[in-house]
Amino acid sequence: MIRRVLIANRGEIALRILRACRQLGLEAVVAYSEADADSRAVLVADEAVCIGPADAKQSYLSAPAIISAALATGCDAVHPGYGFLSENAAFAEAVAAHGLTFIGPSAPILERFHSKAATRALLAKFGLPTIPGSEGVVVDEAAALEAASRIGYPIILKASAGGGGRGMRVAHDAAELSKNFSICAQEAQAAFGDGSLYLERYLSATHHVEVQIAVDHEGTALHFGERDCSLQRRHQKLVEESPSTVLTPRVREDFLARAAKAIGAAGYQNVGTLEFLVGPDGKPYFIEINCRIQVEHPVTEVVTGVDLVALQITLAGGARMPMTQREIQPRGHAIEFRITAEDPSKNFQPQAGEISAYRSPSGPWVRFDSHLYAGYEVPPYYDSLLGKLIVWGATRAEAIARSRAALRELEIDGVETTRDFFLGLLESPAFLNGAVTTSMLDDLGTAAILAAVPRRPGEPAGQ
Amino acid sequence: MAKYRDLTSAAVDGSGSAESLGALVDVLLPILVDRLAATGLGEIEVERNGATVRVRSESFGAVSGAGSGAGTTRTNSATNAGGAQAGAHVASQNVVAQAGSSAAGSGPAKHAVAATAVGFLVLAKEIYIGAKVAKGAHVASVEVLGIPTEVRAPRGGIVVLLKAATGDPVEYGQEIFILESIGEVAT
Repeated sequence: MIRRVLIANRGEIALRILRACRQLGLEAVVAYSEADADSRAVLVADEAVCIGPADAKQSYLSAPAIISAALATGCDAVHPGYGFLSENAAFAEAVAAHGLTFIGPSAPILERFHSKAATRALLAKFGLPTIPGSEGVVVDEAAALEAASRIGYPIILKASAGGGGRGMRVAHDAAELSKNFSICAQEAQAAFGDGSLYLERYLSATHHVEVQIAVDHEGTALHFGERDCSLQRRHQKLVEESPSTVLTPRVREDFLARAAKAIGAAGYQNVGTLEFLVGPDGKPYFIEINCRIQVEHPVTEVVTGVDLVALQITLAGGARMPMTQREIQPRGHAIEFRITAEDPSKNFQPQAGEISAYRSPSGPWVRFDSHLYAGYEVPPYYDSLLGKLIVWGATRAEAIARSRAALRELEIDGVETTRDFFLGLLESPAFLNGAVTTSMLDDLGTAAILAAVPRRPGEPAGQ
Repeated sequence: MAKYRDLTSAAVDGSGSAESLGALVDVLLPILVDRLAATGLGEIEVERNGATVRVRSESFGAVSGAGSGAGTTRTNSATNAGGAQAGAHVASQNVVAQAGSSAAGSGPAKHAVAATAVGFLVLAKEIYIGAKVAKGAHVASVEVLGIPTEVRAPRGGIVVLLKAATGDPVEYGQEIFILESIGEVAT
């Protein structure tokens, strides 16, 4: 039984976890760095504990500081949120070693799913379609060339320990593969401390879909539908929606059921996400797993009515799955926009500074998960996410229309944000038609998207 | 802190006026300064006829030009007779008189010693009210998962207030105790 949770994260997710704890009747302590002393989660928490200086390595990434803070404040569980230490097996193990519950998959499970190549092989064994690729890691250039000739070009080289779009290179023929192999291995070694690579067939202009799953300690595995995360910029997701516009009902049902079955059989526990690329044949192929609650989880919450963070905490406490697959019936359409402190007109340059004015959108089926308030100082040390606008509609068209109104209602002064970029995006025929692909933003161009932002009445042209 | 209540040569009437308190300080000062040097204590407080005179040594970390040399003792006094207002008045006069450069009304400089990590506090044995602390001294540890993290005094001074005790959970940056360094004039 969990009674008191240390929230070892910041920003909007710290607030989101705090709300879930309150709803479950649990006490919560927010752990924060010196730079976040004035953050909203700290201000509204019953108790908060400073764990170190602004530098994340000495605060949010410091396992000793976080565990010590949990013990000093009498907590019996640690919620790592996303990013930082959320998928770190050594951290999860240390948390457990101090008699605390890690809210997420246990250390052995994180270990098992750490390697992308091994995870792909494991889930393929339990019936998930994967993109044709090497059998695990390719040890050297010769092995890579041999595997590539079997798979067929173009191929993409990937770091086994990679993520977030880093450590990847495409090769269209053997010469290019030879040229890229050692460079990619060195990059992977530098970025992740592990130079091992695998390769898979490269699918261009595809859709990126993912399945939200949850598994209890008895192996009961459920899926909560899919999210389409195709709209990306440099492999960073900007907009997520559910359901996906590209899957036929038959394909969707099949891949969701397979995903839940495979992940349960593979021994996973707690909440997680299986990511897939949709091939030219319209079928999803598994690429990787995220062993944490994700930024875009509210999209699924809004269409299914399930509080995934509360479910995550409940499952971590040892409870059995409190629902059946039949009870999860996604309804309507949800879209999430990641509002970040970035200037789209300046190549999405991150911004920091004081929020001089702030007004959040509201109204029916509009949710804005954010830690902002007027007077809040956006610190320069961490990621630039300011909030997530999640809008529901009975249909995709209704969700889009409501999103336009909600984006207009959102007012953030003091730093540049991506709000107008999304208003422009919602004018794009490609987006409105649902033809969202991973390369869509590059194809359209940021300038064209920003130029499409409709003028508001009374606003001078060019604003 | 050590208290000397039997200083025979300190004869004042203690009527509570600023003038008489000034006289009290004049009488006590040489005696207390000698006593301070002889005992090696950081601070001596004297109660006389309802008035209190406190003399504090500042032989380390001095920044003011008011004193010089290793044996120099800076003094300040907080007197309390006939009410807090009179006491404060005399104290500020005395600060002006002794330090020579401090603005009237400003008290001695106070510095917090803060925890350098989150965990459980272990105060050094030498840390108690009135103790003299040298700049850089190891004054406490914070146990982070059983491993001590050192806390060192950022400046020298006298411990005037303990804000946490051994065994207490402390967070990063939390004030553990307060040091007063009389001789250090805020610049």
